[in-house]
Amino acid sequence: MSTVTDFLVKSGVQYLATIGVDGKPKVRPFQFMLEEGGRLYFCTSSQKPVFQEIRRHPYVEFCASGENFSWLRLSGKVVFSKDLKLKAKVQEASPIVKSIYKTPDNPVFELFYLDEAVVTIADFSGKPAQTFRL
Amino acid sequence: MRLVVDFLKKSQTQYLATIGTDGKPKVRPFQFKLEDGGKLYFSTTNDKQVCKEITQHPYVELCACGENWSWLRLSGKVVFSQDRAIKSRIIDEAVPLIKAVYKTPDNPLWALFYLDEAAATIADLSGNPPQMFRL
Repeated sequence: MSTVTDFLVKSGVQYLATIGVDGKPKVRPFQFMLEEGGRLYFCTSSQKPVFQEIRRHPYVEFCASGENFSWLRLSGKVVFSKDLKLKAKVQEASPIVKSIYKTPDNPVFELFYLDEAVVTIADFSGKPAQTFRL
Repeated sequence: MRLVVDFLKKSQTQYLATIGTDGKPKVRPFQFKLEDGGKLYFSTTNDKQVCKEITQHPYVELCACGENWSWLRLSGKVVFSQDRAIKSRIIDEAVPLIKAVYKTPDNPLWALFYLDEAAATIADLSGNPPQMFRL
């Protein structure tokens, strides 16, 4: 798990792929928030198209690049969380999230983690990719 | 077109989203090759999973980050091309890695494609509205 969270944190930005409401794939920059109890948490706004997309098709995949031409792919099923303590923790950890949503109970502030999460870390070294089931 | 091509070149790595053969979204690092005649070209290898995916579901989207927290999203429909002249240009002008992988434009494993119905959006966090392009 720490290999995965370290990779996510260092990458700075990840790219989240979803299936659009038009049935076509969509991808946009995203940001990993934190790991808690073995779960990887992300957040978004209920006002965004991505929220509608993941509600309809909860399976998603993230991709991020790392050092030495390595990359990570993380797939799983989105599960929304109403945990206000955790929402507060995310806002404490991310000033930008705090500035957007102000308070943990902001009704548009949506927190989610990935269930059935599978991660692959690969590079061009010729070594086999590392796979993790979280 | 110029703005989109410049953004793609500067970003170096883009992330290509597809619909997997399992019906779930997939995304991996990808690399823009070149623009020719108003078409944006990318390439992959015939025996890769991504090639199966885009053959089955040709609609894709790419995303890349740029300067000052800007990002680009480029969507379109994959059209495979057998254009040998474009492959030669990619070997001559684009990344040296391509030449190392495929050796010649005639390599049967080399799958070249461009995006039809391409639409691009460049956005940032400045509060300015996103710029939208139909290519």
